[in-house]
Amino acid sequence: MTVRPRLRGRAAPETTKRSLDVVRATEPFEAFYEREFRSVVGLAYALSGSTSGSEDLAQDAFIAAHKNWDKVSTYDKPEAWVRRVVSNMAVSRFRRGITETKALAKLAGFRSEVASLPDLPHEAEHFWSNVRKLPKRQAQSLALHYLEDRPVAEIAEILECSASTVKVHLHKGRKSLAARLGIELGEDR
Amino acid sequence: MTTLDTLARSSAGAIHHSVSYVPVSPASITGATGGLAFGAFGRYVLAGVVAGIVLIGALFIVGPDAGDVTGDSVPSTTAVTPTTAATPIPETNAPETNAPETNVLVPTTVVDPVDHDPVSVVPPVAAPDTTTTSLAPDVEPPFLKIDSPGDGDRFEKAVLRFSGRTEAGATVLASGKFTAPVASDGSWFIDLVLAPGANGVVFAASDAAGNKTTASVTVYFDEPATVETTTTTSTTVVTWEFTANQKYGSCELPVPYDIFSGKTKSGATVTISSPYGNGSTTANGEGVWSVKVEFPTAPYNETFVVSATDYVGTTKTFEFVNLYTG
Repeated sequence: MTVRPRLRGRAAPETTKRSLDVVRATEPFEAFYEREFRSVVGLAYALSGSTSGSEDLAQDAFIAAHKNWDKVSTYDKPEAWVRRVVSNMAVSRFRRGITETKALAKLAGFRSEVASLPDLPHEAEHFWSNVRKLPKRQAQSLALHYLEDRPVAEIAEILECSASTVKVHLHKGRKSLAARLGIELGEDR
Repeated sequence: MTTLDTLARSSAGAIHHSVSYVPVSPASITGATGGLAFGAFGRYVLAGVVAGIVLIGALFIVGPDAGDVTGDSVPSTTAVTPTTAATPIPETNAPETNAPETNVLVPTTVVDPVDHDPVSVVPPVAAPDTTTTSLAPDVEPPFLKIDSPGDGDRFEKAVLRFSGRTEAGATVLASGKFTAPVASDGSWFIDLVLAPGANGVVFAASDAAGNKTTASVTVYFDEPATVETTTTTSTTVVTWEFTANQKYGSCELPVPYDIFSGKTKSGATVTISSPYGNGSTTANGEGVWSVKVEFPTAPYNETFVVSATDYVGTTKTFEFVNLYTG
């Protein structure tokens, strides 16, 4: 990361009207919501495995964004912020759901049926269910990498870690996932 | 592409296909946050109630000896029920009491007035008419006033609300491209992100007949200072800055290495140091520097810190990890 030095306490000279253009207008929340909602639901589903749960998670994240829109809208990438929120909540909810289901099954034979997304092939469901079983950061990195086709730098921005850390998560995650799925990973640089 | 990648791509495509059926209803958030929040809350409560009924029913059917069968005692059962019913409700589900003003959320459907040619869209003046009911063409431009901010005002925040008044039914455009929604009483506002320094914003109001009025305001964004530079005299002028960039961050080769580069003062020495490898270089006449540093003894898969330091001691830090599995 590069830190650019700036002179302390000096206001921009009034005579230098160098930047006479407004950089940009803040995007209306509604447009942001319509553009991002579906893909955020997809990310939430990949990490939580519950259709209704993923919609709830996405809604919760967007409500949080809406409440803080004055601030969130000024970020370079508001979509990164909402994905960070939803990916953290999704993993937490998936693990809490497992614990609760196990407790209920143990006590009263209660079985919780988690509905998959409509039209989701068994092979895809099997793949994502194995992604969810990976450690949290590995699962998040793989979901953002495969589902949203995001480069390492953007994943690092969303997960608030360094690019090299993301590379490690992807490396380990792919290795573990291939082992779980019984796939030969092969040579990759 | 490996088999895993192929499977991953097809699985990702399946999710994209499935979520394309998920409805998008922005009104549920922008207009009825409370209702939406209660919907999510209701699911929590419903899940808790259902779980409670099932558990109580199971206790009645199986009897108090069920604990012996399952290996758990009755107190464990009663401990689980409230846990489920009282699943913490996300803070975001709380009823909205201080929601930001929603005017900016209302989409505008006003036609971009920039595309209008004021001359061509003014209704032609009718030929002398014998009737007394003919309407005179609207050739009067709408009034436009910028109430806030004042011209020359200074601010230390990047997002600034501009507001004013115009003729009811007119459209207002900021800097030629950002539409400011106009209320029925003619008031308008828009939030704009300012660049550091002077920001001149031109507002243009246009009425249905294409008449146009412009008004402008210049405001200053004084960006808060964050980093203090080195100074040697009271009239120091900073002509250089130290920058450092990392090219890779990881390496899968037998002798792992990374390349660091950046800018500093012309002729200055930059030192790269880490627990597993060091290096140094001198900036050229334009202050540009670049150096390749090897980390031959770096342990596998262990992230460590690499520092780049210039001649006055300014340091930038990076992370590196050796991924050579050997």
